[in-house]
Amino acid sequence: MRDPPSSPRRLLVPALAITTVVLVAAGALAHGAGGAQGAAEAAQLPAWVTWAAGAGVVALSFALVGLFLTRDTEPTPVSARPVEPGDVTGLPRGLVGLARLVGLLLLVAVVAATIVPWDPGDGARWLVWGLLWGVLPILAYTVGNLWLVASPFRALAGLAERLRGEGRRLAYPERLGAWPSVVLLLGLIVFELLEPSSDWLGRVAIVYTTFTLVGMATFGSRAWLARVEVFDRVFTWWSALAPARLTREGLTWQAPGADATDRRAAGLGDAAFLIALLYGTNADGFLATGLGAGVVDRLAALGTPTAAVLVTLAGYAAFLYVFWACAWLIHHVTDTTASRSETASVFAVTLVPIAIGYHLAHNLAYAVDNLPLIVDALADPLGLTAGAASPWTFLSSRGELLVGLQIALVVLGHVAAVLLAHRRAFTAFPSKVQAVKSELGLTAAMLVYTLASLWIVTAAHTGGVAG
Amino acid sequence: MTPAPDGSSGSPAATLSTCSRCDATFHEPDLLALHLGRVHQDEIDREERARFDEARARETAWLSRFRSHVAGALGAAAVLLFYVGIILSSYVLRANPAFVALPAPGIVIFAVVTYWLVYKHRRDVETREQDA
Repeated sequence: MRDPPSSPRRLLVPALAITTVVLVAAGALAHGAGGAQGAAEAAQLPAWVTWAAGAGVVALSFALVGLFLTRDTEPTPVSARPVEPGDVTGLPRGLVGLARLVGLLLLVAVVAATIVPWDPGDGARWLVWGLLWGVLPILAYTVGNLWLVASPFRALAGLAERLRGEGRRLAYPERLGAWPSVVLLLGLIVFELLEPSSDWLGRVAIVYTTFTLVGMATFGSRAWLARVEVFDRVFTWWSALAPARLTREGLTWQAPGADATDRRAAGLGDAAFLIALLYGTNADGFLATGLGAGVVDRLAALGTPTAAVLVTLAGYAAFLYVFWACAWLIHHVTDTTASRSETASVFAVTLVPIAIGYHLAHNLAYAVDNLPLIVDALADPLGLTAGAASPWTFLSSRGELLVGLQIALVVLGHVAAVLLAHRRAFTAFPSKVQAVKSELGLTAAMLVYTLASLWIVTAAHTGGVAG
Repeated sequence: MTPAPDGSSGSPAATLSTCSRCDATFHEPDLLALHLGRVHQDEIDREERARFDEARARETAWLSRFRSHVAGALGAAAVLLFYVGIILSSYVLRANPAFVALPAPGIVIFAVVTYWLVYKHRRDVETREQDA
């Protein structure tokens, strides 16, 4: 009889086929990119060959999935639950307390950088952009949601609840959904692009901590952390496919992405948040391309910060539009009675591997090579002693090879997304015809994202790796 | 989205099929039959089972055609990829563009014929498998 939907044996042949294709293509792509930027012996291959090949691999993975995985897999429609950050109540209280204390101390260190009378150095910047924005997301998608354990804002929740008292019990306006956190994340992306000094980081940390405390004290810590607190949502998405799960029963392990097939975004705002995360990893790369820099130059009269904000928002709007168009396409071709925003929420989960691919492509070299500086900042965030650490260079010095790796990561992320989209579609619809048609719509959107991100990776390379 | 007055040619919303067990709605009766057979497989009666089997047979036929098209497209893509190799090497070696341009019509015909042959072959194979 039939094998169950995702039995390992069924997946073996297509997985092998896709892996072979990706490995062969990655080699060819790396060569193409090298030709595009370096000194090749003969005429250089134009960069669009790389983009077309990457898009071809994504289309090919859809074709292979359609050919091999649609025959014996039975759809198992389930009602999806929202992606959740996890639950620390299953962990030993002392451990959580210790982690929260460390998180709180690091927050204090970032804040103190703006107060101390001596020059604190770059410690705060390494803590925020290196640890929080580079290393912690990598740990979140390879291991699990560490932020949930160490979040300083969760550590402050008890204090906020005490401040809240009995008198002012306001309910969070559900109409706003996740949209405030989308605005906050976009603000964070723009803030990163402006490359603020440690001084400014400290000021913004004070403002954000106050904002979070007031919010938690007004609307309750539970509602605020679940809806508005931006880092909680960031790491919820980064750990959506992670192997380690924090549950009421404690720490459990599963295959990566095993429970993603019955997950959805908690509404359209949450999906838009994931798109912002996806775009955010590309934003600095985009400004480093000729087009991005040209637009900023053209808008120089407005001042560079304003121009950077406008370009970032325009790029985000384009990514959001592609996703919305894709949701419309799926809604249209599958003839489903679910609303369009519901369709968008259900299929948003399939973009997580793409976001991971982008994040690794743009941050792996940065995070790995700067580990000595990050460890230095952890040990001495306020620059009390002269830092002797210097960054490693074994990834950032690889030039051509690194571009090849970045391209391979971007393409692999999309291939994984096509596979996840397949599994998601087979749990979203009762009919295989609907499922296949929806995958077609998703693949179309992923092709656009592949082209855009490969263009950014290859065109931005002259402007630095992680930016 | 107002229903037609006579009710005969209304918009899809006017002819929703609703699941009697969980209130899920579908635009097509076939989708409802598949929903019943896959979500409520242990609770359906003989008639619903028969409708599910019919709907699944139509679904299988659609998928079989779809897979044949995919196989045809992959065959054509293999031919075109070979040609892309020629284009790229002639670009790198700065060959005369005529080497690339002249075979183009023949290659396109070759790709189309490959698509058709592979599609035909896959259809035969899948039909034989279904009969067996």
